[in-house]
Amino acid sequence: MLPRLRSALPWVLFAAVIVLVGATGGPFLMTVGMVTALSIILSSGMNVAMGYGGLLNLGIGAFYGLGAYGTAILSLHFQASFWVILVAVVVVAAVTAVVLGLPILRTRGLYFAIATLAIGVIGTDVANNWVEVTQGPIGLAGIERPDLLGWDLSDLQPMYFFAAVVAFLAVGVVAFFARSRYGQVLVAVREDEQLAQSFGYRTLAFKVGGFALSSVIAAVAGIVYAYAIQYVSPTPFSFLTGSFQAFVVVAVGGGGTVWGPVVAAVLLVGVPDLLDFSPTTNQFIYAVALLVVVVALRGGVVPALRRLARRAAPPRPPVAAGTGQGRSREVPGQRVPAGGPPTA
Amino acid sequence: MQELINGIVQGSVFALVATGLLLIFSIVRVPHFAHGESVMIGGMVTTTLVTQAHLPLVLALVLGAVSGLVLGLLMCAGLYWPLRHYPEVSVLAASLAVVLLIETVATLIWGADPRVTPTDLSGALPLASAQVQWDRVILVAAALVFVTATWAYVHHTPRGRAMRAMALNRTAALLMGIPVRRYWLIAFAIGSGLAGAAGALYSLSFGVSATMGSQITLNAFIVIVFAGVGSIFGAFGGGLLLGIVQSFGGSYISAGYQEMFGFVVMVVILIVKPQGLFGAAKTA
Repeated sequence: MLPRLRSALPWVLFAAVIVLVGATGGPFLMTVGMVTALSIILSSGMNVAMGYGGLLNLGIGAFYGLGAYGTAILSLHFQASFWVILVAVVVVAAVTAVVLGLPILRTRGLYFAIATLAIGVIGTDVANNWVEVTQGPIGLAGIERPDLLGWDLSDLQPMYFFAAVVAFLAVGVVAFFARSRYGQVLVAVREDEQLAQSFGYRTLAFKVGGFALSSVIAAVAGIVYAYAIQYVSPTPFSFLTGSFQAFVVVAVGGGGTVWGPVVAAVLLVGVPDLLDFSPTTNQFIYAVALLVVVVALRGGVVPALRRLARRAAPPRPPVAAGTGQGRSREVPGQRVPAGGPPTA
Repeated sequence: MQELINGIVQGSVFALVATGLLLIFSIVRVPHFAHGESVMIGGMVTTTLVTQAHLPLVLALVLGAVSGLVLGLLMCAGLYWPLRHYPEVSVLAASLAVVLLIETVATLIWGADPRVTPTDLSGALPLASAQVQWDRVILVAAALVFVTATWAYVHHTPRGRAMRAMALNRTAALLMGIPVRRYWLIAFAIGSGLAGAAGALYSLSFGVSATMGSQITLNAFIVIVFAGVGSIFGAFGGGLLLGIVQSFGGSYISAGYQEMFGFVVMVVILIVKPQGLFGAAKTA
C-alpha cells in the first residue's frame, strides 16, 4: 500500500497547490500561477522530446506560437469555439511536426538541435513578416476568452483554474506516456538506437511520434497562452523566451522525469515572477541556475533529490535516476528507463 | 552585381567565423555556442578602443581580435575542459548559459544599440558595374588570408597533422601521445582568434551589437552543416554561399525573411546530402 501512496503523493500535492492558489490567492498570485502553468505545459512538451527522446528540440517555440496564433486568428476572424480551435490546432501541429520531423529526424544530436533551431527562427520570421495575417510585431489583440460547456472563463479565477487544469493534464499525459510501451521504446531508442533497431523497432517512427507529441503539447500551451494573455505577438515565441526557456526548465528540473519540469517551472518562472525581478535579473537567474545545475547536479534537481533520498534510505532497492540524456554514469548496467520506476 | 558583392562581403565574415568554429568543432567536438560571442567581443572592443581610448585603428583591430581569442581560451579552460566527460546535452546547456550571461553583461556595458568603428578610409574600388568600399575590400582580403593561413597551418605543420589526427580519431590520437589539453587550447586559440578578427573587421563596415553573437553562431553552424565537417576551404565556400543566398534572397524576395533563406537551403541540403555539400565523410 505504501508505494501506491508514495506515487500518488506528488499528484495530490500538485492538485492541492493549484486549489490553494486559486481559492486563497489574490489576482497577482493567480496571474503568477497562470504564467507558471503555461511554463509547465510547454516544458512538459519539451520533456517528451528532450527528456524521453533525447531529441533536443530547440524549435518548440514555433509550435507554441502556432497554437497561440492559431487560436488568435481562428477566434478573431472566424469566431471559432474552443473545441474547434483545439481540434484544428492539434491536427495542424501534429501534421506539421510529422512532415518536418521525417527529414529532420534523420540527423542526430547537434545537427538535429540546429535544424530545429532553424524551425524556431523561421517561425519567428513568419510571425514578424507575414503582416497581413499576424500583424507583424504589433501582434493580435482582443482575443476573447471562451465559454466551456457553461464554464465562463472571462474572469481571472476561472481562467487560472483552466490553465492549471491543462497543466495538470499535460503532466498526466507525460506520466502516462513515460509508462506506456511507446514511451519505453522511445527511451530505448534514446539510449541505443542501433540496439533498438536490432530488436526490430522502426526507430524513426518512434522518434517522429515523440517529436509530434512534444509539438502538440507545446501547441496546446499556445492555445492556453492566447486565452490567458488575450494578446499574441512574436516575442514570447522567439528562441530566447520560448524554446530556450523550456530547454532551461527541463534541463534544470531533470529531463526524463515527470516532475522535474514542474519543479523547475515553479522555481525558475513562478518564484522570480513572484519577486518581480527585472528581465535582466531573470536572464541572470536562468543562466546561473543552468550552469550550477549542469555542473553540480548533473541531470537536474529531481534526479539529484532522488539520489539524496536513496542515500537517506538505504534499505530500498536501488533505483537508477535517468539523466535525460545518454547513459547514467553512476549505475552502470542498470539502465532503468529515465521515467523512473513506478514509485517515482 | 551589387547583390553578389554584398553577399561575398557578408559571406566572408561568415566564412571566417565558420572556419574558426569548424576547427574547434572538429578537433574538440564541443557545441561551442558561445563562438559568436568572440565575434561580438572582438567588434565591441575595437569600437570602444577607437572611439573612447583613441587608439590607432590597426592596434585596436589587433586588440579586438586578441580579446576574442582570450574569451575562447577562457571558455575552453574554464568550461569545456572541466566538463569534458559530461554528456553533450549538458555541455550544450552550459554553453548556452554562458551565451546568455555574456550577452546580458555586454548589454549592460555597451547598451543594445549597434555601433560602427569610424575609419579614415574613404572611396571605393570600382568593380564592373558596382562599387566596393575599401573597408569591405580589406574585409574580404583579410578573410582570404586568414583562412589560407589556417589551412596551411592545419595541413602543412606537424601540429596541424596532430590536430587532424585528433579530428579523425580522438582515442587513437590520445594513445599516440598527443597532448589533448594543449591541442584543445590551440584549437580554441586559432578558432576564437579568427572569430575575434572577424568581429573586429566587421565593425569597420557594419554595426556590431551586444546581442549579435547568437545569430552569428547560428549562421556559422549553418555553414558547417552546408559544407559538412569536411575541409577548411569547404567551410569558406559554405560561408560565401550563405552570404550570397541571404543577399539575393534579401533583395529579390523579402528583406524581412533574410535569415530564413539560409535555413531553408540548409534543410534542403540536409535532406539531399546529409554529409553536407563538400562532405568527405569525417575528415578534417
